[in-house]
Amino acid sequence: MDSYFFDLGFALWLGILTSLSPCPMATNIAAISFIGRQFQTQRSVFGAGIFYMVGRTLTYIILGAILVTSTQSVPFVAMFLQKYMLKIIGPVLVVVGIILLGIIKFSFQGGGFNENVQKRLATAGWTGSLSLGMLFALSFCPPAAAIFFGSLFSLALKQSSKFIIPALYGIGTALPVLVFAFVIAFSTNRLGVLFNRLSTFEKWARKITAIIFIVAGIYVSLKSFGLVY
Amino acid sequence: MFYLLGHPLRNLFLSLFCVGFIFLGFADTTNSSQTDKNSKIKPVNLVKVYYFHTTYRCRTCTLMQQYTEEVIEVDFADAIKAGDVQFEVVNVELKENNDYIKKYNIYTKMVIVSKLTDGKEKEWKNLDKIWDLVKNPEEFKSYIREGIEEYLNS
Repeated sequence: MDSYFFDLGFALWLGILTSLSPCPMATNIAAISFIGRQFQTQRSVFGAGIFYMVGRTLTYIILGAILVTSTQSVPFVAMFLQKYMLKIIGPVLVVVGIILLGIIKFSFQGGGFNENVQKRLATAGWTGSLSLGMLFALSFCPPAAAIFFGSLFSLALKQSSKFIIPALYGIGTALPVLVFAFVIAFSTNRLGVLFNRLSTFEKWARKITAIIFIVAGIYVSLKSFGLVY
Repeated sequence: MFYLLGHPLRNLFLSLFCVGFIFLGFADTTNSSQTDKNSKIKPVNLVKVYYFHTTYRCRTCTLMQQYTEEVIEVDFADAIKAGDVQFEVVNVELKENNDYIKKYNIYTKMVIVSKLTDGKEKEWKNLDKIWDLVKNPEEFKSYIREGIEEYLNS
C-alpha cells in the first residue's frame, strides 16, 4: 500500500519535473500568457488554467491507455511524436498568434466564420485552453520523452495503471504553469486596478500573448529542424 | 652460372632447388593468409556499446554522445584495441537501422550496452539514467563506465 501512494506521488513529481526542465520552456511561456491574460476576473484565470490542466491530463491518459495496452507500440509512438509534433506545434502557434493579432482575417464563409474564430480565440474560452493543453502535452522533446516513455511508463506498468498514474503526471506538468499564470494574472490585475488602467492592460495583454505565440512558434519550428538548440 | 648450363646433374639440383624454393614461397603465403584470417576472426566475447539517435538532435543529445565517446576513448582504449569493446553510433531514422527500434525498444536517444557471447547476443541493457545524469558530466561518465565494466567483467 505504501509503495502505491509513493508511486502516485512520484508520478506527480515526474510531471512537475518535466514541466520545469528547459525543454518545454517555449510552450510553457505561451501557455502562461494564454491563461494569465484572463486577469480581468479570477474566475477566468482559474477556469482557463483548470481546462489547460484537463487538456494535458486527457492526452496523457489516452496515451497511457494505448501504451499500457500495447507495450509494443511504445517505440513507434514515442519516435513518431518526437519527430513530428514540434513540427506541427510550431506553425500552429504562429497561426494562432497571427489570428490573435488580428492581422489575417479568414474569409472562408464570410464574416460569420471569421468573427467566430477571432472571438473564440480572443476570449480564450475554456475550449481554447483545453485544446492548447491537449496539443502541448504531445510535444515531447527528448528529455520529456525519456521521462514519460521510460520512468513513467514503467511506473504505470508496475501499478497496472492506465488512468491514475498518467493522470497524475498530466496534473504535474500543468501545475508550474498554473502557478506562474496565477501569479502573473494577479499582479497584472492589481497593477491595472492600481493605475486604473485595467482595460488598457487587457488590450495589451492580447497583443503581448499574440507576439509570444508567434515568437514561440518560430523558435519551436526552428528547433524541430535542428536549427537551434 | 655458365657451369650450370653444361652440367645435367647440377641442372637437376638447381631445378629441384628452384621448385623447392617456389613451394616454400607458396607455403609461406598460405601460412600468412591463415594467420591473417585468425587475426580477422572477431573475438568470441565482446561488449558492444551503441548510442542511438535521430537525425535532428538537441544540444543535450549531442552532449550525451560526446561524453559517451570520451569514456570509451579514455577508459576503454585498450579494450577497443583488443576488440573486447566496440562502440557504434546509430541513426535509427535511417531505413537500414529501423530494426534496432523494435529490438531494443528505442523510444528516444539511448545508450544500449549489449553483451555478445560466442558471437551471439546474450543480454543487453538500457542505460536509462543518462537523462538524469547528463547535467553532471562526471557522474554521467561514471555511470557509462560502470555499465560497460559490469558486462566486461561478468
